[in-house]
Amino acid sequence: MRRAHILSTGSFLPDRIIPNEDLTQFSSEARRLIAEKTGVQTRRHAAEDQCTSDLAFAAARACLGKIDFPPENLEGIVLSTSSPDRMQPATATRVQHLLGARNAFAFDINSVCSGSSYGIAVVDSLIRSGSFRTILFVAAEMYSRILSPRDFATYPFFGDGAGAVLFQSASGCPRGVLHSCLGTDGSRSDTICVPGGGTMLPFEKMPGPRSAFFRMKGEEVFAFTLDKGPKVIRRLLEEAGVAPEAVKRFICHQANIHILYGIADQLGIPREKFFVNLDRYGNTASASVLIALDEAVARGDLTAGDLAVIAAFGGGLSWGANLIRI
Amino acid sequence: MNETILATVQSGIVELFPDVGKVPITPRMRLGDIPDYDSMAAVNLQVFLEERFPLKVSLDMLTEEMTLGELVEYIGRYVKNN
Repeated sequence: MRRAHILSTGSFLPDRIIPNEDLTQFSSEARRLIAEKTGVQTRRHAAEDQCTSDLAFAAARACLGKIDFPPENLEGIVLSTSSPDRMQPATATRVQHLLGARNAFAFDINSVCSGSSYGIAVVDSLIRSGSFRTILFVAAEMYSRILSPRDFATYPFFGDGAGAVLFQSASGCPRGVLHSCLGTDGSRSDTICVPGGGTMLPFEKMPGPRSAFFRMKGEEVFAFTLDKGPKVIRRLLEEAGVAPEAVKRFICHQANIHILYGIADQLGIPREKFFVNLDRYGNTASASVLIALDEAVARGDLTAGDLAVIAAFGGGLSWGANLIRI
Repeated sequence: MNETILATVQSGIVELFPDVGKVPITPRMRLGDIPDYDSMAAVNLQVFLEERFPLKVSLDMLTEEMTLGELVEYIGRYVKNN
């Protein structure tokens, strides 16, 4: 059977580290709540002259560079972002140009924080179709540009970053994307949103600049992830016929330490199997899973032949999971 | 003076909580009556109040039980005494 398997991974985090203590627009008692409520200690913010495609390009270059893969051999670039360079064209097009991947198609997907899981499923399907052999999947986010610095419900918890995975077609090989599950509940599309700037609320009809900022109903999202997270992982493993004990690492969306541990506890899986880097990077939306995957591979947490579960959840509301043999 | 303070607080609530919609923002309104009011939202209210008034307000005070009338009274007293 043909499927997408991982040839290389990469990631990029901007240099600027913002610790909780530097968020002085909030009171000291509020700043203490950040780590307590989410586990986030620091986050990265992009430089003034960077945009999302710059982070995506850096992650893509790191990914291809690890195996000296020539960009002109790429057939496609799929980019997940919910904080694009511009409303149009697709952010992926600038990444294609910067990489010099002149033979690759390039397009964006946006499933907010679930974009990593959705992107892996999309790329795997394109490769399984037999039409494409080699596709680069990148997830890049720059939430520092779409958050109100005065909104405590969002600003302290997010960071900027990008991750990349190079997928190639493999047949008769036990490695690769074994199974994916995706889900959406569109009746709750207002729970996580940027209300203004689209066709529903165009710029000229926005009551104020706040409408252009990302917003999130935190408690609702928390309850949603603790409901859907364990369910989608359980469904993924059941459909694939894999026991949870066989999985080496669970690479989940890095939203909140209490969510990660809550999912682990509900599934009866040791917390140590859940990769955590949100303390250093905050929530990097759809990029978080690919950054974590790259770090897990780099530090030897995942090696060839290991089983990994990817799980992500976010705006839409949406959720997804992928079972991958590294 | 309290009418001016109340008007400022009312405008802040509309700005910070767009989902407040048609809920009447009166002195008897509890902070917990504001849609999606939680500990995170309390920090946003704290930032707003401390920017608009020469004031220090603790998060412990901005509980769901506090009414706007009590908040306005506190602000009025604080501003007068400091």
